[in-house]
Amino acid sequence: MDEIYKEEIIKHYKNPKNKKKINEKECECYKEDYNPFCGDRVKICLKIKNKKIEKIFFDGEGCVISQFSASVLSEKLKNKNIEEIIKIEKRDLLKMLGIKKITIARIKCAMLPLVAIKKAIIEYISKNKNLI
Amino acid sequence: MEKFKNIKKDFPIFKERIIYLDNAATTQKPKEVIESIKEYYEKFNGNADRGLYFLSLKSSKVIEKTRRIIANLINSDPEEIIFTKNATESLNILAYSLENELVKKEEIVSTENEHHSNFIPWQQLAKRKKVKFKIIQVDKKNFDFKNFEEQITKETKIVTFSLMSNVSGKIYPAKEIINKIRKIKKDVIIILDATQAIAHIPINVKELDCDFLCFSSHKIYGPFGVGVLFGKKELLKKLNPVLFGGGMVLKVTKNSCIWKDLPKKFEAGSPDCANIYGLGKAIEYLKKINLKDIFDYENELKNYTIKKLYNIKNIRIFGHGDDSYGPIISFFIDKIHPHDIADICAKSNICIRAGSHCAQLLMRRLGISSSVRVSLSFYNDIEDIEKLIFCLNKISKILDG
Repeated sequence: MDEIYKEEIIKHYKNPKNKKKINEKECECYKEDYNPFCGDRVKICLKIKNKKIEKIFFDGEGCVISQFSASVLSEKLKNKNIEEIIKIEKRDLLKMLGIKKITIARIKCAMLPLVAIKKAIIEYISKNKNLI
Repeated sequence: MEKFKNIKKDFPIFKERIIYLDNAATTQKPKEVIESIKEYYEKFNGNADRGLYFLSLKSSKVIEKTRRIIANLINSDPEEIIFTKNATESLNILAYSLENELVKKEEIVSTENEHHSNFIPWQQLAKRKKVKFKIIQVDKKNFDFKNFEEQITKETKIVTFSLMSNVSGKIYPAKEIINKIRKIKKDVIIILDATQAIAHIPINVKELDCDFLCFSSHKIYGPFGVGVLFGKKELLKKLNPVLFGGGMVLKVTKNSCIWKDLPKKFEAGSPDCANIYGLGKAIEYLKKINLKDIFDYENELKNYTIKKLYNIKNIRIFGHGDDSYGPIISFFIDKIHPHDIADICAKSNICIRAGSHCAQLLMRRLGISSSVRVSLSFYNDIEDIEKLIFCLNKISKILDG
């Protein structure tokens, strides 16, 4: 079996971290994103304090890769500076996820939660220019 | 059937160990087709209808011969066959050509079962002309159209639907539907998208009494890059071309043009002779095997596949509760994302499809964002299906164990 279906990944998929039902109105920093190619959908809710991520929750439906990626990110991005998170790129993400080989079609799945988080932060920054 | 036993040998791609079950996306090419393209470029390459030398004349002959082969396949006249780039282009050309025919208060009717290529051109045409755009619903269990006739009124100008669904494989009783439409209003322009149907069921445009019909070469074992648009000649004569340029015009003055006769009027620019030649060879190949035998064999294999799929844990097959389906099967396995299924199958060299299949409206009706699709051809066999089932069981164990 391919490395993207290895035990560690399946474990996250079956028991994702920080996945819960999200009410947009209760989130100060929220974003929903969608991948039309496969129909994956992810909702992101961030709690930000002093430019740092305090908590990340996610919800949505998706494949093993997008769910795994969201679960790992929700842990690894905690306490990180939001301006640094915006700079995270594809290769940084794959490193974080511990995936070396992934087909072009599936990179989008892995990227979906990260893209949503980055969009949420960018919106948050532009809304709170005076505060930051 | 005995004759299909070694048929994979006719298709060079199967020299590699590959189980190809995505025939609704595109079909593999028999060696006759692949060799014909090489033959064309080595022996006949010239621009059709342009030169007086052998190469150009031969290219013209090649095109007209393929036109006759297609006309013969769907029982039309050769002049009613227009070559395009693919079915999508056929439908877009048609939507633009029909623009002048539509007047205020008239209606366009399509269905939520359509591939985006037979939906968006009509939705956009309705917007441009500010006319009503009605969408027929489908029943999510048996995929029947809901109250089709009730949507047809004296104002209905255009009706368009697919002969066979690219998601469920449902084959619609087009003749019956067209009869009912014509009883309400005789001169409705009826368009059939035969892109999926063309490789799996017999099509006779005179019997169907449709006004237009289209399909792509690459879905009937021909090369990419060629599409077909059939139109009744009295209608095609009336319509204006929408693509202009060389090859389609008789006389050009500073202020006006006189178009060529059918079908050239609609074929602006240099034609793709090599691929048109290849399409002709593909149809000849299918006829040599015998179309009826192909359809019967595919139906048998489809029934076998359905029976086997039902043994997979938590599977939900869309439709296929009766005989009105062709060899396209969409399904969903609870708690397992279609993309994971297709991806793990791909690792075992099994090519199946996951996604919305360019039919987002239908997906919404079914309450899902994507499904897994297996689509069969006469070159598939029981062994292919066994390998698929083995892989699906393995996936079920890993992800839902």
